[in-house]
Amino acid sequence: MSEPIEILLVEDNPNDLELTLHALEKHNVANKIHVVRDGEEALDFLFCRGAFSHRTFESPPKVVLLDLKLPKIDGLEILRAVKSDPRTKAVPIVVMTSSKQQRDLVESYNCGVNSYIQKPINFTEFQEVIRQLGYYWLAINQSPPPSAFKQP
Amino acid sequence: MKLSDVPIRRKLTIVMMLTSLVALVLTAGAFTAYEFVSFRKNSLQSAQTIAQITAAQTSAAVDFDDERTAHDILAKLHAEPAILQAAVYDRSGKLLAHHPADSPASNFPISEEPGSHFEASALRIFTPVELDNRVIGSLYMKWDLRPAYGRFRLYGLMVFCVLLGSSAVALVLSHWLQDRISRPILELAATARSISFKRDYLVRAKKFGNDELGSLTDGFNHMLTQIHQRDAALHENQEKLQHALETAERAADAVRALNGELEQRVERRTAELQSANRELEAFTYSVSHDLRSPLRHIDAFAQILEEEHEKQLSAEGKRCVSRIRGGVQNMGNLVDDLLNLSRVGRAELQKELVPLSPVVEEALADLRTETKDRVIEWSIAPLPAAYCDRGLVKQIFVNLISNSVKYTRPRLRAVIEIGSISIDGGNGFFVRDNGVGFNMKYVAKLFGVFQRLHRPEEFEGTGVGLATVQRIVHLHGGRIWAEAELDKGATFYFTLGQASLPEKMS
Repeated sequence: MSEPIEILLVEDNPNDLELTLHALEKHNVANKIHVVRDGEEALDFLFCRGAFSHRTFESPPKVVLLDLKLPKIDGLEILRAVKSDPRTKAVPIVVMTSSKQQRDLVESYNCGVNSYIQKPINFTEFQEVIRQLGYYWLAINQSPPPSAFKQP
Repeated sequence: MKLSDVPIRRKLTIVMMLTSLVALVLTAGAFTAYEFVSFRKNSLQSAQTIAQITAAQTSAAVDFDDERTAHDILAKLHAEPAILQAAVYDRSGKLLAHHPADSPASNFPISEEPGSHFEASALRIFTPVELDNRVIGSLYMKWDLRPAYGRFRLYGLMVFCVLLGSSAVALVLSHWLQDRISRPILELAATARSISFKRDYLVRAKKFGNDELGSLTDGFNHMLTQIHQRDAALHENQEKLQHALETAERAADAVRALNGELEQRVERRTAELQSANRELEAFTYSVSHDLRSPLRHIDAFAQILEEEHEKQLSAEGKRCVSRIRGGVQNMGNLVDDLLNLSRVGRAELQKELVPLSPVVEEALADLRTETKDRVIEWSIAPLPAAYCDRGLVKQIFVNLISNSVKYTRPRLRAVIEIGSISIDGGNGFFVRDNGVGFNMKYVAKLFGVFQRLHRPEEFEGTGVGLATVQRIVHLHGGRIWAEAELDKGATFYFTLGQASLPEKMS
């Protein structure tokens, strides 16, 4: 783990996980990805606790790709927890979901999500979305400086 | 006590007594006055006559200044006791003789001018004594009027007695007469009072004659009969009303009980419905999420197979993968359409006045991918505004126009017409095409969910689009129907209920 984690992928479904990773591999960012499989693990990672207590708030991932439907703690709860804590609220979070529910969209933005993407059904389009996503958040977007992640 | 409060019996008596008394007093007063005046006149006349005779007799004595003769003549007046005094004066006013002779001369007045005047109880007269039409002296005479006044008093007393007697008779008469008038009235009053106390409308007032009071009594009795009848009817109605009221009260109780029950039931049902709605929403959510995800996976892996493992696949293998992806595509559309249908079913209408021409333009823009490679002759009339849910009505146009585009595909020159017509006094809208149409005997199946009139190889579709359109139209309180002929084309008409009523707006 010498290289900093650039993408935290929160995904419980193995198919989605494999397809997302497949798409990311095509664009050579797979080695900077960390995958967590449920909400609890995601929160542990983001709040540097449990198995991730060696991590620090000052070096968060450049972007979190968050599924909404997750075991134990769902995506909206994670979003709420991250965006209401001064140590983590600057971490960019992109919701990636297959849900078309209007209320998920509204609730996500109300919680302060940075981007909301509905996974295209068509895999070609999906790959294109992943490509653009990686390019945008890892290459174009200016990440928040470490001072944005204040210790309480 | 005011006269109006006096009992009628006494009132009648008073009236009769007053009238008779006034008449009597006036009559008696007139008689008495007349008697008094004529009495004085008679007294004066006779006194003057005697005075003039006496004056004539004494004229010679006065002329000769013969006191003795004058005295003798005056002494004869003794025969008339009413003559209190008499005196004769000569021309110079000297007292010549007087009567009574024994009375001192100082008791007699000095001679005065001729004339007469009445004193309290006496009459004084001065008469000239004349000889050959010459006044040679004067005669004085004083008459006692007391006996005369005594007679007059007696007369007055008699008149008073007559007055009293007449009044007594009038009183008796009036008493008797007023009874004739007042008794029927009093009887009537007593009857009325007793009726008003006892409420016994069978009592009748006694009739005393056929005069006005008799008719009044008849009228009163007739009125009683009517009141009795009305009372009976009223009583009956009251009982009926009471009965009806009781029935109504019982019904109201029942209704209240039912209402309570109904309310509870409605609450229960509402709760059930809400929970059902929540379940439905959860179901919709899971369909959208859970059903779509595996589809996406199947398609994605099939695509990876197709693109990255092409070399390992035989021609048949490739065909199979392609069929898998086609099936996934179909199912994806089906899930989308079903979700859309269920969303429409649950939608709350957001009605506003919507100009429909821009809505149709938007619908056409949405369908651009389907129409870009086609030759279609559009005929779109200006549409009026409608009071409706903009998004849902746009969906109607999208679905209907997309159908027309789809089913005109075999035509080299497709013609699609959109317009409005007047239906049921309001605006109706239609989408017409010259496509493949359908047989009208299947028209009933047209709007059913999953109902299709074409094989999928001919025209793709899920059989949900028209069902969705129908649901939106029904939500608006409108209706939808179709006319078609096989191989000639189809026309779909719809209204938006009250929404599409008046107001033309291009």
